[in-house]
Amino acid sequence: MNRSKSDRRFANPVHWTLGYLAVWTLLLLEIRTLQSVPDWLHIVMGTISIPLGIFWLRRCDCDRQLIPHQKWIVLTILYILWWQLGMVVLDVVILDTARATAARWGTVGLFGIGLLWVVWGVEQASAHYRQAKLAGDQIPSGSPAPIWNPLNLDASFYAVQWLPPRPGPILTYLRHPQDPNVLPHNQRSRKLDQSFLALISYTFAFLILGLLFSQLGGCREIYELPAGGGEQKQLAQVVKIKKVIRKKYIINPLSSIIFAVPPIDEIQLKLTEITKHAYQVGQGEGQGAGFSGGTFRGKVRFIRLEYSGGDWNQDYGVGGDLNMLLEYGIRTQHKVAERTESRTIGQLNNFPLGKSPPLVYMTGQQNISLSKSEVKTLREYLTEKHGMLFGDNGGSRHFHNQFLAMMNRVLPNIKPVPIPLDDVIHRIPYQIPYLPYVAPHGGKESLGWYKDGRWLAYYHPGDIGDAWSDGHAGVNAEIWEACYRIGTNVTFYAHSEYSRWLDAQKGE
Amino acid sequence: MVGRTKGRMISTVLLFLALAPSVRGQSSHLNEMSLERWGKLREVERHQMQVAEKYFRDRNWTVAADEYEKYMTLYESSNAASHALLKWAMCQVEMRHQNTAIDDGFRSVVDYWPDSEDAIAASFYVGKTLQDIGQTKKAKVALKEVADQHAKHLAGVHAMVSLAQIATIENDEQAIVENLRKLTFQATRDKLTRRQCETASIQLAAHLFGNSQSSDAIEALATTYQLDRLANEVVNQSRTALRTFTSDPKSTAKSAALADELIAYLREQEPESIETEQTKGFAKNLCYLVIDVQQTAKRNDQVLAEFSNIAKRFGSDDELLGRIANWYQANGQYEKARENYKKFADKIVGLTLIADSYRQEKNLTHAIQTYAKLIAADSENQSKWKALSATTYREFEKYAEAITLYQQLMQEDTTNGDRWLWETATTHREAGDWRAAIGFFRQSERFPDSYREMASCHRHLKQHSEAVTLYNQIAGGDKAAAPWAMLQIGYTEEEAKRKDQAIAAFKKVCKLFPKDQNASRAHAHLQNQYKLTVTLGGSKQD
Repeated sequence: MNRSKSDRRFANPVHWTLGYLAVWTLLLLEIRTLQSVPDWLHIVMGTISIPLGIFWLRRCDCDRQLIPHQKWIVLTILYILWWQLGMVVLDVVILDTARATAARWGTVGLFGIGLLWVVWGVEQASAHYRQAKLAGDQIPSGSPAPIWNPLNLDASFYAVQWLPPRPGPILTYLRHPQDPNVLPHNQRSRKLDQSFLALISYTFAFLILGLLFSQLGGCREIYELPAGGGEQKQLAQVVKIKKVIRKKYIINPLSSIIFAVPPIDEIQLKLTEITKHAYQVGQGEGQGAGFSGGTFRGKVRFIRLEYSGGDWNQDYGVGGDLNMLLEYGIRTQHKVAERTESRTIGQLNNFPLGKSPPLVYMTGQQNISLSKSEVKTLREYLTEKHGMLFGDNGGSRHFHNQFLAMMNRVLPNIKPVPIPLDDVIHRIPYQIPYLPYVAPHGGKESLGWYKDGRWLAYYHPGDIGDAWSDGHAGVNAEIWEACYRIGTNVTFYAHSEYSRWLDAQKGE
Repeated sequence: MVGRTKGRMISTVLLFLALAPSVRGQSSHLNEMSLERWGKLREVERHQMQVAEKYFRDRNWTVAADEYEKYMTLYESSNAASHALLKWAMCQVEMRHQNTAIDDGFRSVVDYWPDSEDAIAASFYVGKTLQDIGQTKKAKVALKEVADQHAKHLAGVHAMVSLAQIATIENDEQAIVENLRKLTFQATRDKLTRRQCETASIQLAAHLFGNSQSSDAIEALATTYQLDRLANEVVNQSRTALRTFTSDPKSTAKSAALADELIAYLREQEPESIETEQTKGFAKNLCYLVIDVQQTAKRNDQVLAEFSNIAKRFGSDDELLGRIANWYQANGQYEKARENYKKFADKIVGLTLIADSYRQEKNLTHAIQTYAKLIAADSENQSKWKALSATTYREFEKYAEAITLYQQLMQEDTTNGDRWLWETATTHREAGDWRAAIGFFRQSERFPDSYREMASCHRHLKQHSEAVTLYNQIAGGDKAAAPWAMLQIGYTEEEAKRKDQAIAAFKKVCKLFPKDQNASRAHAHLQNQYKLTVTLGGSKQD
């Protein structure tokens, strides 16, 4: 059999496994940055790891001499591969809460596995140096040079008494100066110092790598509006009236035949309200419903803002956000994303000027704790990047106060005002004759922060997100329909204002 | 320093803004028709206008708007048509249709009746409404026009106040001062505008003191106060600035300069002779004001010298002794303070102050001894001094002694029996003696407070069923407290680990009182604790 050199190389499973891992790593980087490769390819690539993993595990059992500790290496790599596969699958099936949990606990697991490897590595290295030292003892030497290698337990910086000794042992020593067991010359353990250093160094390195990895995708993130055009007008409503006339029976009351007397004729009026798009809802000139400042790849997305201190993820993943996004798509015919998303306030920095989200949604019922840099980021997002914040009180007066306090820090020179019911945000595309709410946690008026001819923030005091969720929190149809309408109006307002701003930028 | 001055400025102006009347308050004078105008209306016109005004007063905005609209349709050429349109627009504002109010109401009044009184008011309302809906840029233009063109009119004064409000929010110090100056020196002060102009002058003075412009500040205050009160107000309004300067080591020179200027001003005011009681009182007051300035500037040695000066000029009395004692006490010299209190002509007051000083010094024994002296000296007010003794015991957590005194009071002062009963109960509660507290609360007639307290004590004793029974009684007996009581039932059931009953109670609050704050809490609690979303019915804006 004369096989070529390359054939022989690929016949070796180590080679094609390394090749697979290289491709997988590239795809991992891609999903963190470009996100242009379809999800199914990620799943396919991840799924390949299952037979591959089984193969390697069986091989480890059969051939124990291949690489030392090969089974543990295989298991570690498989942990990473399968964890990421699970994440992609959860992402595709839109189980956001489960994905967030998997991400959190997966990271903890990865940290633990890495720590075990570090402990093992340090132990191996120190054993190695111990043996080398024992071998070196037989050779006479001059004055020893200081050792700086942290893997060597004899390193100069281990067991240094940085702090003065405790008074207890000193007093014992003074009482019993002849006792060799009191006040040992070296109170600290070198081994303990080495383990402590290893733990600190590993934790620091893990955090730095994690931070870098989480920021990897940041600088390339973009948000594009759906292309198109349309008018900023109220949706026309057509009411069709259908008369249903029941048949009328004429019965002789004196007849000898016994009838079950049917009801007297009834005229039932069925009023069917149909909302018809008499025109395209949108902004600017363009084909199809959308925005003149948009692109053909662009979609309306629903982004929830993550913040610390409270429960940004209140009812996240129970359908409220997604329902609203889908309703928006149905009502306006704009292209919408397949799923909702969440971003931290810091991640808003990752969106460039002109490609940032026109609207972010924020809810909760507990504390809102923003750092100075987050306040600055949010201010820049609202004022310079032309963004808009949609705040929703998820369930307490406390959140109301927290939200107002936060906005006072973000926009100190703007006072919140009740938004008029005849403002454009309450008129287009739907006329909102009254403010609906699920529960008046923060009052009964929507508040707004207005600057330079537009609303920078819209705050709904009455848990509108609950009305959007599956089951609509039990409120009646009239209320949840009005809540969807408000959601549609605010989303449309933010996008059309953003599109108009983009047009103005182009003009300039 | 500048930042601090600016901060102080803004905080004081915010206070001024809080005092400023609301739109509705302003409107009550700006949008009222004069009797003369009423007199010019025909009978039918007057009737229709009265109908509309009645609904307006009753805050039935929808009907009022319809009635004003009816007036405009029927009597378009009437003298009061502009007024009807103005009021119609105000109804729109109340119904939160502010854009409609501006475009179809206020601006139409200005366009169609430019020479009427209503046009001036409407011009102001355009700016004010724009301000209220956050459109501050447009609001400033509109309000400035009114302030400039009608500075002597009530609308002009309101416009200046609104401009100051906007400047405060925008942190524009120059604009704030400019508007305060206009309000202080230019605006006409009548019974409608006086309060705003006076407040503006006070805020302006405080700001000018902060900028070391004391003569201008005094001039601003002089527009508001007569000579007899001016000196007091000068010292009051300069205190914050002087304190700020004194507390900052970098501004010691400013502090000294301001203090000297103030003292020089006060000395200038002294009357030439102090023969009459009035002039003597005025001169003495000025001396006390000088001490006030010295104290704020932390010139302690000069304070004592000033006190002895007063004693020499006007003789010693309880007021002077009290001030000296207060000064010692403020400096932590309690013993010297008490020496002065002992010299009081009014021994009862002196002893009371001594007891207070012992309490401040955390000296229980002497405080009680002093109260004992008071009981002996002032037999008419024995119950008052005993109650104060009991309060002192409670301050020092000597609950048993306090309770003994309250029980004595219950027997001696039967007219206030319920009060002493309540005090006994609360003392038992503070001592953590829940059972005894329940016993005394039960005897009290203060429903529902007594039931509330009893339920709380039962909860501390883990007697949850008893607490629930009491809360149910509150819910049944007091409508206002019912939502709170039912919410507490939920919490109590939760403490008793009866999860189902707790959920049922929380749901009941949501169902029965959907618009109450307690329902909101129950709703949030169900969501957080049990992941249950319960409807509060959902509703429309009222």
